[in-house]
Amino acid sequence: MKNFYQDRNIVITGATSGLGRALALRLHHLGAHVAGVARGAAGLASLRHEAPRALTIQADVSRAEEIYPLAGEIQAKLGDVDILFNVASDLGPVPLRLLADTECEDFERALRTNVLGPHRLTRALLAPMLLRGSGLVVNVSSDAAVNAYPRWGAYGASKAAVDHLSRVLDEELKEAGVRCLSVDPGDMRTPMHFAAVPDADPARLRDPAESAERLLELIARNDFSQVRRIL
Amino acid sequence: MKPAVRSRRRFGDTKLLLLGDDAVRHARFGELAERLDPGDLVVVNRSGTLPSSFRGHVEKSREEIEIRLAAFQGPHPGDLTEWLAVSFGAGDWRRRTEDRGPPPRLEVGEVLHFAGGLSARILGVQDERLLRVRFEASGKPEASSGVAAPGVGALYRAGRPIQYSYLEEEIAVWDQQTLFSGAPISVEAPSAGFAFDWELWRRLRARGVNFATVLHGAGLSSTGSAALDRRLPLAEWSEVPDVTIQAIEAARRAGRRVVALGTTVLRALESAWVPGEGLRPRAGLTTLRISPAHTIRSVTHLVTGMHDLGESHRDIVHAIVSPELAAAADAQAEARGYFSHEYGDLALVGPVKG
Repeated sequence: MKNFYQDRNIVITGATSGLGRALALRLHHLGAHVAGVARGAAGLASLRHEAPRALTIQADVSRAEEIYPLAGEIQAKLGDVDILFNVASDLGPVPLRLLADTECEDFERALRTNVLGPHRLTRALLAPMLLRGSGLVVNVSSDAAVNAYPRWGAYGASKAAVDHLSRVLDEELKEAGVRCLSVDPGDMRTPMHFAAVPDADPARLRDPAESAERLLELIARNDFSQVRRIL
Repeated sequence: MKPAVRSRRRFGDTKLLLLGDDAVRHARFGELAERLDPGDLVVVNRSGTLPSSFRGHVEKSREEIEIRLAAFQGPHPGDLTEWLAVSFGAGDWRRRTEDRGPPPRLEVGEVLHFAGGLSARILGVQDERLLRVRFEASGKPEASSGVAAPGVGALYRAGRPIQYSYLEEEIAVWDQQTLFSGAPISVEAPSAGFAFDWELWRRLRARGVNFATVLHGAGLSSTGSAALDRRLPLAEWSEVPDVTIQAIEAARRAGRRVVALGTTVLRALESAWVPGEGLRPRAGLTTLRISPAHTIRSVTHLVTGMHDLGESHRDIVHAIVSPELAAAADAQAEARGYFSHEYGDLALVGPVKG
């Protein structure tokens, strides 16, 4: 696995929390050139502390005007991107609400962060992948994309959208050597999960470091058929 | 010719004028795949475009100033610190640059301040308005190094896209990017790439047409001064990798076309030509000027904007086809309602006259 990720240029959004942070730390350890993207300066400083070679960039992927500055900085400092992990996610209304009670503004924010942001960033970073005929885009999804859980409507609908977006993009690009996957990492001990389910039992939740490890193993083995239901 | 006044185009609508072999013909850019053959090579510029207009004030005199970055100077595309720039006086982009007031007089060592704690130190002044600047982060100097290099993000936060007075609406940073945009070392977009989409790329690939890239920092197209405009193009950063040279040599050996998508690509490739040796990989500044007498050796064809037939890059077009043919093409394009300028129609010029 070390050989697979060594010296790869890898971008991770949502890199200061949960799965994103676990991926950033693990990939940094494996010798990848990591660019960690997040909104919060404090989280990025903490990531830099633990992953001193990592490039950290403060940006909000839900804002269209921040995408090209972000992509420009990544391509100037990191170079051509090999793998993009779109991990940054928005739950919609917190605390979670019935869909009939969900304000459109909360729903919109979830769609901008979970669907449009990944789409925009993928498009902005795609050219070198297609020109050289290899690359991978991983979008993080959820079982809420498949199952109709009450109160998970905004989040679930946005993740269903990103699942389908990933399938279509993969179909369109795989002939050119670029793959796009949507991954359900399962319920993890992350700030986002506790925001959604404040009384969740930590003992029954997976450590995001384990999810990151499993996901990276499957990618390194090129075992994309397994990835969707991984974990 | 009328300029295209909108930055958003309908893909497939762009016209393609075919100019070469002593003839002028008319097609659509979307038909490019049918105009090329298997084994032909298209070389594209993978540079992104930085918002390059900066408004602020002169530290010493407190005078307001706008500078427009004119060409990236280095030290390398991962460190966007040093630039040539042109200063502008009162007025904004809605006023023709020729009609704006005189900019503040500057001396070497002076400092300009922009939004968000970004500064620029004047390293050189020529003809009063052509500056060499180095960006600095003025917010909190690093204790050790004295001067902190600003992040790329600071440039994006303080800069605005260079605007064109003939456009109906202000352009945003995304309107400046082509399909192939990478490291943002251009100050205005390498605009021949605007008409490209992945659909067209797929069609070309399916036809057996290959692609290669250069990284070339496109410079400022207009300074508002005839004297300064005569200095264009300025020294521009240009990288031609070995893999691209191998692709060109393979295509030429096989007698295939090599098409430069845009004049920046042509400038990059011709700069990589070493007399007696041929094409060699390079990374650094180029001061090459392509005159009508220049012998083009790297490519067989050029895709370029319609304004280039008659105006800014006329010399380059005349290095490929005769002035008479270019003039005939210009007249036909005018009569047929082609649009000129950055977001307008395109011409495929070539093969290079031999």
